[in-house]
Amino acid sequence: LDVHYTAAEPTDEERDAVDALLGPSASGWTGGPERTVADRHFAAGGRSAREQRHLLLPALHALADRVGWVSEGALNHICRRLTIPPAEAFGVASFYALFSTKPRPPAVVHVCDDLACLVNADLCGELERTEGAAGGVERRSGATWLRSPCLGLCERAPAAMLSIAGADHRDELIAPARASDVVAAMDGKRIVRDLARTVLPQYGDPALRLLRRIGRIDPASLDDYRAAGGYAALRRAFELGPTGVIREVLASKLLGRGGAAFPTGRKWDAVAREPERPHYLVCNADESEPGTFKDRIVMEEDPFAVIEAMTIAAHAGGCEKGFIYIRGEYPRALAALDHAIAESRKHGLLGDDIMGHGFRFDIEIRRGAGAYICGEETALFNSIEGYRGEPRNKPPFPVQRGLFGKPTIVNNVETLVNVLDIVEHGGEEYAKTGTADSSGTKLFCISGHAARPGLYEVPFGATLRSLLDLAGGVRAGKRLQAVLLGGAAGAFVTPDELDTPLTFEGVRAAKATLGSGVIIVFDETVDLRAIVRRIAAFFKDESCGQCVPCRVGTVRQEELLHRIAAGGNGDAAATDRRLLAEIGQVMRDASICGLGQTASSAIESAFAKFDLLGAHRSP
Amino acid sequence: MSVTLHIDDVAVTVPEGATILDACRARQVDTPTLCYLENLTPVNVCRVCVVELEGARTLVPACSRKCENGMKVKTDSERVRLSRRMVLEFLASSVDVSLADDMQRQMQRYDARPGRYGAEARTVAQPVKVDNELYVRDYSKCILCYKCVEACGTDAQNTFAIATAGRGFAARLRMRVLRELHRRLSDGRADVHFGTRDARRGHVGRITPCQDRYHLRLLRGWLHADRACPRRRDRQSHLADGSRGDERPSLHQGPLRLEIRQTQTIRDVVGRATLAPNFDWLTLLCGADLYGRPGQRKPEWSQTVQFITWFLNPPPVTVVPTEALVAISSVAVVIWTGGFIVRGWMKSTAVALMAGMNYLQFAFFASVLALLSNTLTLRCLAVGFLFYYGSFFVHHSARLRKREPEVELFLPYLDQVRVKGTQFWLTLQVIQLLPIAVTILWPTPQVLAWCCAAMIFLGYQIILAFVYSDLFEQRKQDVSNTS
Repeated sequence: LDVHYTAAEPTDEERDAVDALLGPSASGWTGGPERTVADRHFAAGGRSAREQRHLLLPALHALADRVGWVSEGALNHICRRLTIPPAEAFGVASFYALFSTKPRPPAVVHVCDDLACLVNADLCGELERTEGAAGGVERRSGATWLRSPCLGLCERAPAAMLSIAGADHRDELIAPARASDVVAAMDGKRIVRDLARTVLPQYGDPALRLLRRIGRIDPASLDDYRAAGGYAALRRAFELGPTGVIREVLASKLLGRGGAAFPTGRKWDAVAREPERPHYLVCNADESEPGTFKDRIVMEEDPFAVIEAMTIAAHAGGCEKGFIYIRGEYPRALAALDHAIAESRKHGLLGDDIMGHGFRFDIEIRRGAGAYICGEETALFNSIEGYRGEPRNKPPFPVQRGLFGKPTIVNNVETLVNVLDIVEHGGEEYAKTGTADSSGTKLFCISGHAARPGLYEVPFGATLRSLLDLAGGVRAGKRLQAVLLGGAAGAFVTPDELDTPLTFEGVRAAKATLGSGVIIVFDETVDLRAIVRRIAAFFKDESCGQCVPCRVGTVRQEELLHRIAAGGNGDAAATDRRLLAEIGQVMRDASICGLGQTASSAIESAFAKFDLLGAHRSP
Repeated sequence: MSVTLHIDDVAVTVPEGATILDACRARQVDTPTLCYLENLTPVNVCRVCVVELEGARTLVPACSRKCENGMKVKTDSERVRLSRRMVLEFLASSVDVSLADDMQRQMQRYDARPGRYGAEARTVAQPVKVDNELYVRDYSKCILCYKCVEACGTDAQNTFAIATAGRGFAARLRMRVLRELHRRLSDGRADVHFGTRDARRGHVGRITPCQDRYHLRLLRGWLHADRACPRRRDRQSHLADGSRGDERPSLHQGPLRLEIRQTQTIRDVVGRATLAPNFDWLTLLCGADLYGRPGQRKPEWSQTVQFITWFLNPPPVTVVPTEALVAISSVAVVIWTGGFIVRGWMKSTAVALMAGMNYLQFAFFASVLALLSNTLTLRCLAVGFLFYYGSFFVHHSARLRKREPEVELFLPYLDQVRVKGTQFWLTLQVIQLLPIAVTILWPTPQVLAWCCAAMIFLGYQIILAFVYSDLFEQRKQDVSNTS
């Protein structure tokens, strides 16, 4: 392993930040102050070097948290400490949107301009008029604002996230945010709008399963969680044993809630049967689909449930080590989980001997850094391992070769939380809720122009209309124009299709997808063409750039939408529509991962169901 | 163990572990690939080799998907054709692929029309980066096939100097290792010897410097077939540091030497295939640049074969109206001046000769225009003219020397000049031959047109020199007559 460095050296602050995470260096070869005689008998390379690579992302976070950006000298220091080739480390640092490889002020406000925020208020437009272009630092020193994709605060849109680098680094969510709040945040004033707790619209409904504890217990208190029935499922899981748990999960017909709807029991079973060790468990909490916030609320308000469910999954799959990959824009969920893991360790619910059953399992949290693609399971593995978050080719599937090349269970937060009920009350019992092919309940994130946006839990089979009624219909007596079901990777639904039952098979028949349970409501005043263009821009920004259909296709798709918007309704428009369909097909057919494969689905459904060629007719 | 699958409804049996691409090639099914190379781990990022697999939701990349029993593969269905066409269009509309001949062929095969995305389509174009002696980077030609990354990484070199940086359309290859080297070169702390050394004989030769190689590539003189220096192939360059002992080999300290060692290993690791369809983005002195095709040792006449291959494969031509216009106007001027000369100054053989040459020149450029669409014909024609002119000069030089021992010229800034006849004709000849030589090397109408323009200027100067010397002579006689 040859590693070459440039001459740039880190500042003391940068060195401190990295060393605080990695500890003092073992030798002069790995960034120590000077080389001693003992270092001649020391080799940094091979296995020991590779085993450190996964610390790259945390080290970059440590730097970004302390100084706000990743300088060349600091990157060199990380490379020396972890023996990573500098070219690759730079490739990783420049991959994530939250890291800057150019100097940036310590205080940055990330302002969401994605779908749910866009239809509520044009915050970014307002800021551009008053504060200058995003990323500019002309107006004030020490602070800037940036446009950001969905921050996952859609029920309180518009949203912003303030992050202040320094020794007392903090990330704060501001929602609902006004332009004046963002300006105040940049001026260093404390924002009072930071709402402490989520208010559940269905609070008190006895039918709630996954959300039953939310709002009722103190998320920081293990005792509260236990008093509300927590850890009964884990106890039952130890009684059932790994095969028993898998049998129950198979019987429950639980399907993955991350978007692909793969049977969870089969996944666990496959990993449990793999002879290769160790097995890993990964909880995918990188929900970056525009309009999704369900996992954030579960993690913020019921973190112990996530940990208990992960322990059950690890027990079933024979995993000793678990990772929660949480997106970088969720500071509060991160803090809640961090606290919950520490508490669990303290009470013997994580560690070498869980609940006295001799089962060893521990969880490590990994923070994402602003990359939608890292929600794709194999990209997530690469991200954890310290590589660029580019998806891998499948097969081999994660159950055979996942994290660090070992068999891996990877499940979404919502999927895991479902397991608690299944284990506690039995799979057969669980399967009684919902429909025959889609069992259980589903979380839906309603945002946009709904009267009561928020997180809703309904059994599978409920219609979209009933769900919208639950959310109070369209706000301010406006007429419904469209619903985006499944997020940017989903599809548009017209008011005529509201009686579609919300099940995996039901929406598939309507050529839509449940995706991650996103329901963004657009009233009649919304210009759908602008929404469609925002979706195209989202995919263009978030494509990892690895495969040609997605890297170039997303760009061409966006350009074409602008061309269609600028043009009329004539022959040229028809040609452009055909070209758009062809771009959509190649992305769907030939892209490596789900991002490219779904990058055109919402746009195509919008063109199929609405007249987007003419000018927008505002009522 | 072997597996049997169906490719386009024909059963194929391949050994276990073979990919669909292997099976396709065994069946002689022409499957395009861009990022695939036999001896590199498949990255399957270009997606041009996709095939339709029965039962699969999406198309699958042939280069990496392993064959399984009972697979039913379609390699030429409508879906496959569309995907391949679109991928080629996407690349060609964003990257300069003019030098990638195989890709041009595939684009014709799949009817790819990159122009569909309009003039406003974003490209990766940026100026060529020539900032040091070691490597030249032409990012506008990079299709991000990852081959150099793979070869520089675990697949061959284990150097990890090249990696992707940025994301999405902004993703570019970054080279980290040589930046410091470059800095040291520019401030004189390091010295580069473009030397080669044969391990056995200790012979030190010279290899073609990077920038020369880059320009040769643009001229298509540097073939994919031979990426190493023309004389000695199969070399691996090595960045070795002079420091010894307990110091870590580092780019910061000590004198630095660039050493090219002759070794067989690189050929064994990666041989038998061309490195990249559009590898011209990076001309670099490292192992990645030296992989040759084919791997077998070439016989000594290979350079002749190379020359013939190069000669017979001129670059495709695009007619640019402006340049064509310049060429046509140049020819018009030549006709006009030629007519003048013939009418007015037929008294000396030399002048008549020059007039004749001008007419030959005209004929040559006229045929250039007539054959704009076929660069190979153009090149052949130029060679013909080269021989014709050459023989003309050889034939007549003795006579010219005898008849015109001295030529009097009246040059605009130098007044009257007396030069040797041979020198004068030689100069004239060289000027005449110049555009022909350029035509052979670079047979595009653009270059030729500007050569024409330059020729006209030079020709005018010479003609005027003649005209004025005659006028001057006449006036002297007039003056003496009147006095």
